[in-house]
Amino acid sequence: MSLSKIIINKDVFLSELNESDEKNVVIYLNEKDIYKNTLRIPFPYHQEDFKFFFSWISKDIEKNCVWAIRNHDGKLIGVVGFHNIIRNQKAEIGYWLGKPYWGKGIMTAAVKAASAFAFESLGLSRIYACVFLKNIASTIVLEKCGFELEGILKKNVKKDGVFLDEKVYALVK
Amino acid sequence: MYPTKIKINESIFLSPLEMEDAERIVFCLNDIQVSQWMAEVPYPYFIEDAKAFILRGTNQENSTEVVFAIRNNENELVGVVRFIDILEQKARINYWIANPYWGKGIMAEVIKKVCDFGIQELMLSRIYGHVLVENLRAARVLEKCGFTCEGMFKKSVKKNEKFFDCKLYALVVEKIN
Repeated sequence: MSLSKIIINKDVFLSELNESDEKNVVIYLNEKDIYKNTLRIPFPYHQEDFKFFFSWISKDIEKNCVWAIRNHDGKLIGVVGFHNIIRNQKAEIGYWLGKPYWGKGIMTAAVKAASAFAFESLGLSRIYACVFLKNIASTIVLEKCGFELEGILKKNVKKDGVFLDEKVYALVK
Repeated sequence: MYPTKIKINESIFLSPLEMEDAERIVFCLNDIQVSQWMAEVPYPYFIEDAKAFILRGTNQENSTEVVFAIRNNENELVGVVRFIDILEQKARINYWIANPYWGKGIMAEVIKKVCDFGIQELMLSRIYGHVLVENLRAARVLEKCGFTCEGMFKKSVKKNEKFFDCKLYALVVEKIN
């Protein structure tokens, strides 16, 4: 499905992710502070990693719905999207923001806008997020957006050979 | 990955699923008492559903699933227990047993033995199960087997156009890490 533009504020908007965003994604994802808090983003992050991600979301458009978060000149500064979409039921939200843009409320605004769109256009009743127990920043974003903590899953994921606990947050309509 | 024979007690054992089990599965799953708690099981349940289920569960190339038939001493299938979504030492457990075998502690024995198998043979470190909130019997069985309730997911399951909350139970091997 093609995604229309969503205005967040005068400086930030969401629009469809495309192949030309590769350069910025590679720049911002070569950041250890993003790597350590996410499960599927490799480090170091190469152009091939972006190509792989992009072809994955493009191949399975029924299950994935991904936006670029862009600043006023249209440059990508982050990504927000839904995966494991079951239409008229539920989906998982995932997101990241380039480190220079942290602490400005951008991520919260983007998650709110994307969630509102997903409830409306995908007919969802439930949006959930899985967050590493130690990822406090992401927890704060979710709580600001009205997500509620539903549980703590022990050793739910394995990263760099180590099992990590995860929190599950959900926003339910 | 294919399971071997596992003895539960004098009258119940586990062994691989076979195509000949299709009719028994149809018979058992057309019992609404069983079906009503199964998020992913259609009702009515047809022979095609059973055949597809058996094909998937016995496919040797499918490394994400290990399926056992639960059988009585006449070798008749009376239930199914399986690990699905096996990935990185983690698996979801999913099971049902026919109504006449309820309330005898059989399901708990089956789950305990299957989890031992999963931890020892499949090297699982985390086994989890989803239970509809209203399914008190299933919650009790998992608790008896040492599972802990980790959370409740709102509107997580949709069955017959209705939403249900579900509880997440997990058994975690503590000695790993």
